[in-house]
Amino acid sequence: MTAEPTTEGFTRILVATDFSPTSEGAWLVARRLAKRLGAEVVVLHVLVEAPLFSEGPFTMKHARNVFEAARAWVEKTLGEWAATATTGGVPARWTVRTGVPYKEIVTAAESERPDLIVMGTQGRGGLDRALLGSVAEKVIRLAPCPVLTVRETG
Amino acid sequence: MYKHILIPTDGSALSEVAVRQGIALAKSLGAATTAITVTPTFRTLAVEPMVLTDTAEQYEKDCKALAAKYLGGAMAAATAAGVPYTGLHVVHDSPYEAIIEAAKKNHCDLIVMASHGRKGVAALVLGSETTKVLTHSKIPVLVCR
Repeated sequence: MTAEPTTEGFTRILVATDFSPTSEGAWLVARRLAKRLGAEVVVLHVLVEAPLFSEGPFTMKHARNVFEAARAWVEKTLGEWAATATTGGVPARWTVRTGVPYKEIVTAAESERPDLIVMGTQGRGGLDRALLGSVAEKVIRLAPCPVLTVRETG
Repeated sequence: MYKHILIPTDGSALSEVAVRQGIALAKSLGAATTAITVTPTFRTLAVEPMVLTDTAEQYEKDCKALAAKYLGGAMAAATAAGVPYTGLHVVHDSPYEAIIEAAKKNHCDLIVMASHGRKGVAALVLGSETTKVLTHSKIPVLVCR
């Protein structure tokens, strides 16, 4: 499948994940699409380093430990995801950024130049079923390419 | 993967982009396409100038002609690409509801639509119907811009 010439330029798909069930659905959809279209996938997670407050002199050090542990877990997990996809015939890479999720997704899209972004709506930031995920809504507005939003797993 | 793609169009330039993209994607995936255009119901008080000036019969005729024109482009593109195509003209006051209903009724598994239609004002604001479809659709939505 991967050797097949691609049609109408879907050669790179960027998937943003926050590890919520809907974003796992987005990852599944992206891999299936990539397989059919002969595209590569780039899976992205944005680390949010929110200020952590505690008492005592080691606050910053403790906070850094938490952030480093999170980063290590994310890098390991995405590495495994990418390896599984690549083994399954879909060339995959992963990338981790730090900052405000919607901004980092748009920035990643600007540098990776995907032909499509796939992401879940109603991620962990979702307030209510009737509301569109605010991250997805901002990404759709600002992204340089089409955005596919997936609501339910699968 | 996706087997039946619903492509809403209002004949605007951007929705033509969505039509092209949706049909191209359908071709790559071996999916069928249904293009849908929604026109408002006749009323004596409305913002659409066409509604004010015409009789119900004339209005219906004009809407049909307009829908045929909008869907004609999609049909031509689908035929050229060799993609199965159905055109759908729905009279409904709320385009997003009509779109979601049509998607359910026709068992569509993906909606491909433009970020704005005719009413889209600025590039940084999402079109109202697109936002509503995104909010209420359980089916995945691919937004083109």
